[in-house]
Amino acid sequence: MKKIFYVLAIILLVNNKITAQENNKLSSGEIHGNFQMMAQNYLVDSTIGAKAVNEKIRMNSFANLNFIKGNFKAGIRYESYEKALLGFDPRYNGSDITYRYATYTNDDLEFTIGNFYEQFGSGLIFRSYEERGLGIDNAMDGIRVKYKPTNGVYLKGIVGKQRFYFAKGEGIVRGLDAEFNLNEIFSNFLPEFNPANARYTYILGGSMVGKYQADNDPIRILPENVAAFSGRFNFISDKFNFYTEYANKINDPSLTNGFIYKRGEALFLSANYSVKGFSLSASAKRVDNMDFRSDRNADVNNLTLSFLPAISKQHTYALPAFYPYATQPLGEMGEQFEVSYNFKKGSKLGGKYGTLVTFNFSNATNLDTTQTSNEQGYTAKFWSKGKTLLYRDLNLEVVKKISPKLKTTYTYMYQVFNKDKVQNVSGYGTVYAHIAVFETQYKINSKNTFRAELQSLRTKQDFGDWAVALAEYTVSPHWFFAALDQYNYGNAKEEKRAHYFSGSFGYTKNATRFILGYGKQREGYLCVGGVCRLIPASYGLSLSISSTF
Amino acid sequence: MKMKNIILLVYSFLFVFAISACDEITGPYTEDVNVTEGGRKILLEDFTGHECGNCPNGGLEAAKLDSIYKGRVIVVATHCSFFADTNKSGKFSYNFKTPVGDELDQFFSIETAGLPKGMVNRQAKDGDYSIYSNRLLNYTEWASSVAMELNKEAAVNLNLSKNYDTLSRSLSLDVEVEYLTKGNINQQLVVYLVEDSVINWQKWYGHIPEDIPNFAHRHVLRKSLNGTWGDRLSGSIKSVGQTISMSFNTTISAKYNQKHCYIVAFVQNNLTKEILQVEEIKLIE
Repeated sequence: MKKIFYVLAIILLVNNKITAQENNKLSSGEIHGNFQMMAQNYLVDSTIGAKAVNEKIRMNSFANLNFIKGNFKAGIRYESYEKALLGFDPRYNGSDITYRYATYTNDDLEFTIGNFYEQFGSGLIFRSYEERGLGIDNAMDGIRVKYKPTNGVYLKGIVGKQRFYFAKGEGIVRGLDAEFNLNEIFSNFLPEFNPANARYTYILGGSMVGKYQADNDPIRILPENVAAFSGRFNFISDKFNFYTEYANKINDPSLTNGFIYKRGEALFLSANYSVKGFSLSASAKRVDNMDFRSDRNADVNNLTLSFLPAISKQHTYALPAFYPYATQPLGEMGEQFEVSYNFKKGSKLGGKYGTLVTFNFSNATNLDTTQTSNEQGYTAKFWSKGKTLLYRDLNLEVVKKISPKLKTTYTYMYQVFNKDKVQNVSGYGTVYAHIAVFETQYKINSKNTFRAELQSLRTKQDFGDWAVALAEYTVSPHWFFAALDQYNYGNAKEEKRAHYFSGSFGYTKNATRFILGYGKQREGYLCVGGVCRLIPASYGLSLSISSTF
Repeated sequence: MKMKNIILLVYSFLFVFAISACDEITGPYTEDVNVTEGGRKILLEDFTGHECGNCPNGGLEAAKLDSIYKGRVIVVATHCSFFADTNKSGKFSYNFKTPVGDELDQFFSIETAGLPKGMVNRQAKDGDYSIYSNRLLNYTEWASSVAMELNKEAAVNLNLSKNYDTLSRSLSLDVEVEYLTKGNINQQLVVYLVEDSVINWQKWYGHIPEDIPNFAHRHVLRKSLNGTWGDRLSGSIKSVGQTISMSFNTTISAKYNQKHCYIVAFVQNNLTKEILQVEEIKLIE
C-alpha cells in the first residue's frame, strides 16, 4: 500500500513539474503542509524527580504534505520519534510514514482511501481523531464514502482498522452515519422550511458502528462482533440551540470494564441561549459502561471508538488546570451551567469600557449502581446519581478593561477533585482547592505588550499550596519572552517545596516559529479506564520549531 | 439503474449487514479448555504492585491459568513501578521490590505502560521485537497468548536437582539444559528465587474493604541467583542432544518462608528476550 502512495506521489510531482519558483503552486494544483519539531534534553533534578535519559536528547517531529488538484486530494504525514519525549508511549519509536490518503469528490459522492479522521454526531460511538499533545492518534486506515443522495440527506460509510502507534489495531471497524437536515429536505414543499428564510433549523441523525475482533481466548466466550447505535437531534434558531444524542452498545466485555457483558449507554444534552451581551448554557450527560474500543484488550487512550465529551470548563491557566476532570467512560453523571453577562459601557458596573462576568458550575458523580454476581457486573438506576462526588468546579471570571491599554481578568474558583477515583490512584482522597488568578495585559504601544499572571491554589490535600507567577513580553510581530515560576510552597514534605522555574523565548517569521525554553516540569498521572500512566517530571532545555506552508 | 439508487442500495445492504453483525452472548460465558499435551512450559510474568488497585485482577487471571494448565504455566509476580513503592501510612510499608524487578521495569518500560501488565514467555506482540515494551500484555491477553505458546514445540528440556539444608538454609542447585533443537550462542540461563503466599497489604478496587491487610501475594519474585539476564550457556552453537550443566549455591534469607519458596529456572534468547523453556522446583518438597 505504501509503495502505491509513493508511486502516486512521484507521478503527481513529475507530471506537474514542481519547482520552487512556482511558489508551491502547480500549474493546476497546490501543495500545502506543515512541519513541527519538539526536542528536549533531560537533566537530573532529584528534588522534583527529574531523571536523565540515555540519549540525552529526545525528539518528536512530523510533517504533513497535502496535494490538491481540482476534486482530487492526496497527502502523507511523516513522523519521527528519535526517541519519543518522556511521557509519550515508548511504542512511538522510530520514523515512518504514518498517514497517507487520497480523496476524490465527484458531484455528491466523495471517497477516501487510506487514512482518515471522522466523527459521527458528537462522537459518542465513533470519533477517529488526533490529539498530538497527549500522544493520541486513532486514525482510521481503510475506506470512507460520503454521499448526498438528495438535498438535506448526508450519508457516511467507513470501513477499516485504527492506528496503534506504528501498527494497526486488531479490530475491523465498520460504521454508517446518516444525517437529515429537515429544512433542506422539505424546502421544496414547505417554503417556511427553506434554509434561506427559515427561523428554525431541525437536524436528525443516526449512526451505527460495529467492530469485529476474533475470539482467541481459550476460556471466555467473547462476542466477536460488537455494535453500537446512536440517534441525535439538533434544533437551531438565531438565539437558541438544543442538541441531544443517545447511544447504546451491546455486550462488550473488555479489559477496561472488567469483562462484564452488560450493555452500555450514554446520553448527552446541551442547550445554549445567546443574545447580545448575555449568554446562558447548560449541558448534562449520563455515561454507563460506554468505553468502546476496536480492541477489547486496549487500555489508556489506545484504539478508542467512543468519544465522551467533557462538560466541565476547560481551563487554560496553569493552576485551575491542575486538577483536570477526565470523563469516566465506565460510569458518571454530570452537568454544567454557565451564564455570561456583559455590563454595558457607561453602566455602574460596566464602567467606561464595559465588564464581562462569567459564572460557571459543573458537577460529576458516579452512577447509582448495585453489584450483581453474574456476568452483567452491576445494574444502574437511570435517573439516579451515585453518592460519590467525582468533580465539582464553581468559578467566576471578571474581565475588565481599565483603559484602552490596560485589560485585567480576575478569576476565582472552588474545585472538589476526587483524585483517587478520577485518576484511579490511591491514598490521595479528595482534594478541595480554592484558586485565584489575576491577569493583566498592558499594551505599551502598537508593537509592545506586557502580560502577567499571578495565581494561587490553596488546599490542605495532595501536594498542598501552590503559587504561580508568569511574565510575558511580546514585541510584535516577531518576538516573545516569557518567564514562569510554579512554587509548591505548601507541600507537607519540606524537601518537596520546589520551584518549577522555566523561561522561554520565541521568534516568529511569517508562518514559522522557533521557541527555545529551559526549565522544570512537574510530575503527574494520566489515568484512563482503570490503568494509569505516569507523566514523569523533567528538567532541561527544549526547542520547538513549527512551520506551515 | 441510476448511480444514486445503486449507492442507496449499497448503503441499505451495509446497514442490514451491520445490524445483523452483533453477537449477543446470553450464556454460557466460559468454555472448557482443550489442554494439549507437550513438553513446553510457559513463564507468565505478572508485573504488579501493592498499591495497584487493578492488579489483583491480573493475579486472579494468573491463578486461573495456573489451575487450568496444571504445571505447564509457571507464574512469577514481579513487584515494580511506583505502585510498589513503600508508603509511610502503615498500610503499604512492606518492600516487595527487587533490583531484578527494577531492572526489568526500566528495560521493558513497564511503569510507563501501567499496571497490571504481564509477559508470556516474553513473546513480542505481532512479532515485533524491536520495541521491548511490545512484550507487555494486558491480563486479558494472557490466556490466548499462553494457549498459543503451549502449542509450540519445546526447544530445550530443563532438569533441576537441588540439595537444600533447612537449618542452614543453604541451597545447592544443579540445572541441566538438554537441547531438543539446535541452539544459538545468545541463549542464557536465568535462575530466580520465588516465594509464594506472602501475607501483606494489597489495594483492590471494587473489593470491600479496598485496602486488604492480609492479602496472599502469590509467586513473589525475591531475587535472581545470577542477575537479571542470567549466564550464557557457552559461547558456541549447540547441537541437538547436547546438554549443558550449571551449578548455583546460595543461602535463603531468614526473612522468607522456606516452605513457600521455590526456584524458577528458564532459558532465554538474550537478544530477543524470548523464553524457550522454564522449570520450577520447590525448596522443600
